[in-house]
Parts: sequence; C-alpha cells; structure tokens
Amino acid sequence: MNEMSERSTQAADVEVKDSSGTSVRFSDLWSERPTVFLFLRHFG
Amino acid sequence: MQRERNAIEARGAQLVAVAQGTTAEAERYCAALGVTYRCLGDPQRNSYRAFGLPRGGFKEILLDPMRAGNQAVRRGYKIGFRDSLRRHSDWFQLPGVAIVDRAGRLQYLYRSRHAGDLPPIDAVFAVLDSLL
Repeated sequence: MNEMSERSTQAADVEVKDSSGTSVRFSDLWSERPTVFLFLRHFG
Repeated sequence: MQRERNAIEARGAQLVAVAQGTTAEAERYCAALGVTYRCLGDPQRNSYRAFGLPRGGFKEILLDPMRAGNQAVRRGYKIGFRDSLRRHSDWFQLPGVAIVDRAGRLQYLYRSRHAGDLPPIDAVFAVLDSLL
C-alpha cells in the first residue's frame, strides 16, 4: 500500500462532530462528492 | 479559500475546513473569518495525523512565515496568534490541504512547510478537473 492510499484509509474512519452533535465520518463526506479538506492551523 | 469556493463547487467538489478544537469552536472561528462552507472541529487532531500533517518548530511557525513575507496575506489569508493556546489547539501544528475523490482515493496532499505556506490553487483546480 503506498502512502497516499494508506493515508486515505486511515482518514476514512476519522469521526468528528457536526454542529448538531452528530458524528460525521470523513469517508461519508467524500462519498457525497470529491472533497477538498482545508486543515487550519489554529483558532485565531 | 473562501474566494475559491465557487470554483471548487463548480467542479462538483465540496470544500470542508477542519480546525483544531471542537466543532463549536471551529464554527465560531470560521464565522469570524466569514467562512461559509462546512467547518468541522477535530479536537483530537486525528485527521491531521491520518493525513500525516506534521508539527513544526519555531522556525516553521514564526521565522519561515516572516521570511515568506506577506504572500498569504495578499491572497486573503489571515495570520494571527489569538486563541492559539486554547486547550484543543496545538500551537505547532502545521496546516495542509487534501483532496479525496468519491472512491476514497487520496488524489492530492499538500503538507505546508510552514505556517504561512499555501498550496498553489492552480494545482488544486487541476486535480479537481481531472476528476470531472
């Protein structure tokens, strides 16, 4: 497995909460449509 | 990226911001910046680790962005340190951009070399165009 596929495999199971408190899996996001993730450094 | 949102969506993709901290914190932060696309919080920074986004040091966080001048600011990005020491925030976390297609293939990964380092937007568009 190359690094790119390894990374997306690891990210697929990452879950975060949306504003309503519902868990959102990263794989659910990109299954809707191609997704550009912008990772911010910090707040402020 | 706010200004590029329309161009990204015109290519059939979505733009999602991920910030350190809770989603509530992320949404407050994104609202303050005028970000209108989806904004999620990842207080454990699991996604940052999954994509291999590294932590920097003082060089990458302070010195290199200063050397790079105001390129990011000219492109509309804001630089600041306010609130960066919150509980969920890793001051040394570096940013990045990832593009994943509908099949779950990571098509593009940009690991910023310093706090003010941004991917060339043309590269982002080229990847999205290849997915059309």
